[in-house]
Amino acid sequence: MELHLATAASAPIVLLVSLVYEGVDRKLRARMQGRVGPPLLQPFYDLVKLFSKDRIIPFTAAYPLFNYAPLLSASCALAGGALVFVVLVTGLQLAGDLLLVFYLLSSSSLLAMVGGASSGNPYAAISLSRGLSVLLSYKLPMLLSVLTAAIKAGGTLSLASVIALQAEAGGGIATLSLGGALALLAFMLCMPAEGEVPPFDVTTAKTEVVHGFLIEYGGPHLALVKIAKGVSRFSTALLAASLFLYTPARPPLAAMLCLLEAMCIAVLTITVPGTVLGRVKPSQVVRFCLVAPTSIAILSLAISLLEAGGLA
Amino acid sequence: MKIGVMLRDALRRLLGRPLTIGYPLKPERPATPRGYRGMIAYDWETCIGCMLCLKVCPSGAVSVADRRKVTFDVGRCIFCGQCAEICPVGAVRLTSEFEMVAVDRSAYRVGPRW
Amino acid sequence: MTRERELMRVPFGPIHPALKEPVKLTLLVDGEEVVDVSIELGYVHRGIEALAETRNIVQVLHLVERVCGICSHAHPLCFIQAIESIGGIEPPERALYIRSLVAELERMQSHLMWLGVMSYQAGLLTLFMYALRVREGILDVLEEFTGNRVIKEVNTIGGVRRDLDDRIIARMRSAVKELRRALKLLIEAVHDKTLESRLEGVGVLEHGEAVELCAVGPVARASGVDFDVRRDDPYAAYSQLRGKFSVIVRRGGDALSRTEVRILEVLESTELVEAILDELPQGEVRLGKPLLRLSREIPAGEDVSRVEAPRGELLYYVRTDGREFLNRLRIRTPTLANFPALMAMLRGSELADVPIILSSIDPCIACAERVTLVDAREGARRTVRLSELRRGGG
Repeated sequence: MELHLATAASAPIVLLVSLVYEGVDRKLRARMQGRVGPPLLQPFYDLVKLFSKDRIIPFTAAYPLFNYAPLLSASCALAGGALVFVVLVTGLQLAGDLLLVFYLLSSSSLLAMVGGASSGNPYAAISLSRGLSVLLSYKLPMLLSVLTAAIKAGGTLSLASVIALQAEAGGGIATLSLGGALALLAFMLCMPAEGEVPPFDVTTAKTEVVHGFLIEYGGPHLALVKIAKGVSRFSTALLAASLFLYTPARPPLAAMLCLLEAMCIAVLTITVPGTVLGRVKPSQVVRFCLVAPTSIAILSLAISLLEAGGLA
Repeated sequence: MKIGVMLRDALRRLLGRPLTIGYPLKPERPATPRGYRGMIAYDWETCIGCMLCLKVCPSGAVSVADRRKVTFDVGRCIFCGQCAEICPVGAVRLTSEFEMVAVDRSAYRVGPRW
Repeated sequence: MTRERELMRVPFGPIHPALKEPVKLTLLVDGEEVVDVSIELGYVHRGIEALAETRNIVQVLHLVERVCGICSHAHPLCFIQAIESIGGIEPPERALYIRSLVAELERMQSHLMWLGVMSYQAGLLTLFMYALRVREGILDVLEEFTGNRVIKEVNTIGGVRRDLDDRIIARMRSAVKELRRALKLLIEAVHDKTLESRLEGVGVLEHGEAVELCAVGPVARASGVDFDVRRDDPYAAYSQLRGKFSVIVRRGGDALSRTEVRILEVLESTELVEAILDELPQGEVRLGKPLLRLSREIPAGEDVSRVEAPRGELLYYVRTDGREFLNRLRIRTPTLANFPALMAMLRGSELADVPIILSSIDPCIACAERVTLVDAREGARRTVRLSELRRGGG
């Protein structure tokens, strides 16, 4: 019961930080292009505006799916992000919470795409088919690198024990062992796909598929999908920070540090590539994700298993 | 074959001042070059009423006013400057004023003021 | 026959984020492969040719300036050349050099803008911003000299309307020098792996096809067609400048070749501008006679004129009536000439490459909008078919 309350209480915090990151992202991107850029709080203004608009539901849409998918998607993302945050602050032991977080964040992406594709728009359909193959190809290496961290922590799929391990060892997994560093690398290579920025933004590419699954969403729907996207990309960065780069400190301070690290990871892996790289083709995304990050992740898994075996 | 070529320039931009400027323009408003073709200025007292501007105006922005003078409708003007060029007495001039938004169409009528 | 069911008709336009102007492509798609394509024009038809028949020559000069915002010097230049040849008017030497000078500055800004749009299509917004920032330097000197950034209005019957002074010449030199420095990064950026992989081997137009489909400009030159009006049918001051520039030709025929051709043409243009500023003859820039007398003295007659606009060969047919007015004006823009080639490029391409291929010909839709015919006798409106377009469109 307390867990539920704590998760619900941290959801607004996660949302707030995600939106701040969104603002930082837009500002940095603008400055890198020599523009003044929008104010830091622009994402908040955008949400206020979008929520005050009417809902539009195309007559070709499958109503329940189209209408409720954004809400579900945003809830999944918020729950996933809040769960990581709660564990960070309280150190609560939850068996299998790593998988739960991973599952929630993946569902969030999937729900948004399926909801958009249920609008009946051909561009959204193309976007869904692109999105599914991309989702599968980058979630696989991501999951493998999460497993690496779990193996380090003695094979339990609980975020708290991974954190406990790092607190005990006095540093993040990525800084302690080669396997951990490789796992973080694989994870970060997948981040542009998670953040839907170039070079991997094939699902929402404006010039190719006209914003893809977002095409028919507007008003509150769009606001929810934006929240889902923003929270899930930031939560993924937060997950990376707490799994691989946890800095031992007293719990509230450690959580703050993790948020800061997540912000840095997101800037490095989402803002910067999104600014300086061009978009590749869907087939190239899948090929890249299934080759580079996957092989690195498998390598890190193998190394970690050897290290664990050696210790035992 | 390189990757991320734009990174260097992006970082340089990040550290430098942004190149865009805010609008409405503050006092440090950029200077318009000499010879800019902007808002029309009409010196109706010099005008001799030869009506050459009427003849060459491509968009029909010039119309005849009382006492052999002309009126310019800036709303129709395409700022080619042909009227200023053809005027034998230099009564028509294109100024460097480029902010011409108005809520009232009468602001766009440049003609004799008796 | 089972394949036929899989074909999907994807509308591309008339409103689409990849299009800056309305044109409708209907793509017949098999999975991600484009099997066939049809093009429909007419959304931005403005009736300029008909309008030109109701205006006198001086007025039409300013009208054709507005056919295209980007090549706003090429159009009046082409028109005025036809008029001058009908009237037997010879502009002073210095005026011809200034015409070439502005044409080259225009080519630079047009190609830079195109490069920006191209990188935007490929998702590289930072390069778009960079290209437009570089272009701004050229636009600034154009504004300084002509009085406006894009609608330049320098041409007049028997010369040009403004003369260069030392201050502007110095500014042009420094702007060109700066551009040449900036081009280094642009060339590198195009060979950035993410961008290059999107351009290489995309939208291939074979040499034979380019010749057969009458492609023009950088599109033709990227397919190995060694033709440039500036060299092969010199106008303005280009016959004197013949040794000062080379025509860039590539054999690849893909989007990357077209990009390279354009970037290297900007480089050639910087050389040309410097050569023009070095060799600029002294003297008047326009004939002493009043403009309206000049236009009155133009006899009835007809002529065809062509120039190398940034996008390719631009062709004007002009027929005057001897009383200051035009009987007929016909404009064949480079984009129109490149549409048949575009269809050939699109067939067999990937859906994800369609925006790239489309922008690789640097389309200017509004300029090309003169294919919708109205048959006066039947009052029927029909769009010219591809097969008719294919024979030159002109």
